Amino acid sequence: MKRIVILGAGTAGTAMANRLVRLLPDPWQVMLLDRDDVHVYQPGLLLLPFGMYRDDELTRPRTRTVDPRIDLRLTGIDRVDSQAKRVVLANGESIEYEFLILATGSQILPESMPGLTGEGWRTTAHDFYTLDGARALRRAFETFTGGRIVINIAELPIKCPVAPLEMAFLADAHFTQRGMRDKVELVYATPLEGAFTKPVSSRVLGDMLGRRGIQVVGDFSASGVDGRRRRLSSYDGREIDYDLLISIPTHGGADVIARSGLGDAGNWIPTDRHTLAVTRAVNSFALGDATDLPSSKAGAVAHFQADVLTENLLAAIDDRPFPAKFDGHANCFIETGHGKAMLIDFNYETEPLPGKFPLPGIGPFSLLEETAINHWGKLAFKWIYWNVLLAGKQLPLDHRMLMAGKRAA
Amino acid sequence: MDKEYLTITERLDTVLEQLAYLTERQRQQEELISELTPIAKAALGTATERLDALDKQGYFAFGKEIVAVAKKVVDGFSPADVHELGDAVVQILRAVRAMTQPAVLAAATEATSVMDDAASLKPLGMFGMVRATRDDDVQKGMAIMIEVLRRVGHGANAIAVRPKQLEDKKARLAATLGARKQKLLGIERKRPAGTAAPLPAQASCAVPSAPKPAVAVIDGIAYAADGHLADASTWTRTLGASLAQLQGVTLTDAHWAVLEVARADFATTNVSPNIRRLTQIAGVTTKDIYALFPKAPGRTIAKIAGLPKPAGCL
Repeated sequence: MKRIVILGAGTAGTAMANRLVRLLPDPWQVMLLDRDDVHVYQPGLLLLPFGMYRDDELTRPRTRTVDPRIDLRLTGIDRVDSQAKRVVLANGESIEYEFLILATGSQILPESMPGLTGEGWRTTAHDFYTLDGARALRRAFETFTGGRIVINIAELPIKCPVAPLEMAFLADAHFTQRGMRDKVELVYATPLEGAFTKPVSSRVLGDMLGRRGIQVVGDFSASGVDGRRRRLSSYDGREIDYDLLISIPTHGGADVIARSGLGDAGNWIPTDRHTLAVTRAVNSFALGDATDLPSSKAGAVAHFQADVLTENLLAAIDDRPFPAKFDGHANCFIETGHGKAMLIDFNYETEPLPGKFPLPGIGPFSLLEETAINHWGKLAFKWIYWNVLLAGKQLPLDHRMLMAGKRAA
Repeated sequence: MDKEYLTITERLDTVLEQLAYLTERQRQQEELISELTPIAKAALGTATERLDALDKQGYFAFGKEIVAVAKKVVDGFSPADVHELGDAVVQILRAVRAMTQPAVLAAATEATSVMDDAASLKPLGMFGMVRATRDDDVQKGMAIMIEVLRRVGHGANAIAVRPKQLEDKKARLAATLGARKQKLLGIERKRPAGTAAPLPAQASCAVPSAPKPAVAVIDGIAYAADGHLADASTWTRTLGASLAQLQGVTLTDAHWAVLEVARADFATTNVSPNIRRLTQIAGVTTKDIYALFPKAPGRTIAKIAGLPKPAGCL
């Protein structure tokens, strides 16, 4: 028996395992490791605070998302011993592998922002990147009577880079619908120059936040939170008072990566940007949020990477050169509120451009443009996620980004 | 007892048969889906290529414009007009066919060639005209012109019978034609007082063009529109020093250390480092970086070090 071990049964790991188990020749087996049995549909965390999803729609037991032929072990992992090609479990047990796939994802590190998790944490200061955080924010929205809401990105990279923007749009729509938008001040504080930093998006989307009465504070590198005074401060001495803070805290890789000595300073795994091979370990690959690649940390990226990695891993098994190359392809829906959404499609080289997707001239989805069809696509995506994407089934989409249907102007 | 056992076994058999049937059906369905998926993928791939070719040739942009043209026609003409036009199409085609007969075209070409020789022709007085009428060719031409005049007059009489309809048509035409064509046709648009002329419709689907970021070249160095170097490899320490001056930063060894680290990091990652990454790789604190580059340090460092502007995904 020859074993492929996958660390992490999140979006990337589960899709990868389900796909591999169907394609691998006989002596090969797939073992999938994760510490708990709760798989969260993470795109839903953005909509949960607004009551657009119920809690029970967003989680499923990992045991139900995984093909029965996969050896799924729910256990803590101590570390990877890449020299000896084995994984040491929390209980001391050692598991040897021929190939290792690291899909350990990312986590938020709210403690790294001084004061954020102190007084007011999860009452007046929130995150929405965890199930508990999203639930607490829903309660805060329900009882919010007015005042200033500050959405702050601590630093980059973050998971789903457009989520903070969506949070701003959805909050605007939510309080408009409740008839109290005039009592709510929305501030979007970002360490970047502004909300849009790429030439085409800046030109096409321009003053999207301004038109919605959302104030943008640029070049704001948050240095700390004073929970008692409800004040957010920056390294260059600026201060923003808030009634409700929605923080997107610093992100980092999984702790097991640090314990295994496989990560960089941010605990991201140095990975070849095209082949997805881990640069510091033999017979190892990484995909999804866990890598140090300049691609977006998003489910679509994990899916496209799984396409590439499947081809490359099957080649590695046969001792052939890697046939597939990851091009940084990402696409994602951007909820803009009021039943509409945008769609963006881009890669390492190409910034998001306007046009139609996936069929040129027809769509049905429109790139860099707010439409209702895009919003329906986002809603339909939940079924696709549970039944197609996680199951490792093929979507009729190319893992490479295509210029077809895109306009440069 | 035996009989009961037999009945139960028989029923079980039926249930098992049904189960097997259902299982087979499901297997077939799943197989169908797995068969269809690559087909759908291929079909989508083909459709994508073909539609993109059409897109590139401008068919979709053209289609959208055609819709706008159709709207003008719909606004400007009633269904009755279009019906009438349908009847007239044969007439129009006949006229076009007659006009494009070789003989007619030759005559027209001959007639227009006169203009080429116009410079050498002498002005003709009354007597000259009388003299010219003796020429056989001129006599033949006059006969043709007279006949043409007769037929035009006949047609004009026929039209004069329904001047009302013509006026209506003119008015409707006026509403749809541009100013230049109106002037040519001698019709004018009547606009209610106090309303401004509508703005020309913005083309909703622009023809694809390849825009380059506006690049300025100063002292042989190319800059992107955002003021950052267009190509990081054109950077020199001297250039860095003058870029720093423009940013209001006086460079010390501490500044240089950060800039060198930023450049080295970009050389391997091809991404401009953000502040956190700089603190990790340059061994300085965020406070240090703000002390060295007080205003938007991430962007300022990238600008001075000749790297692209740090950006999000949008």
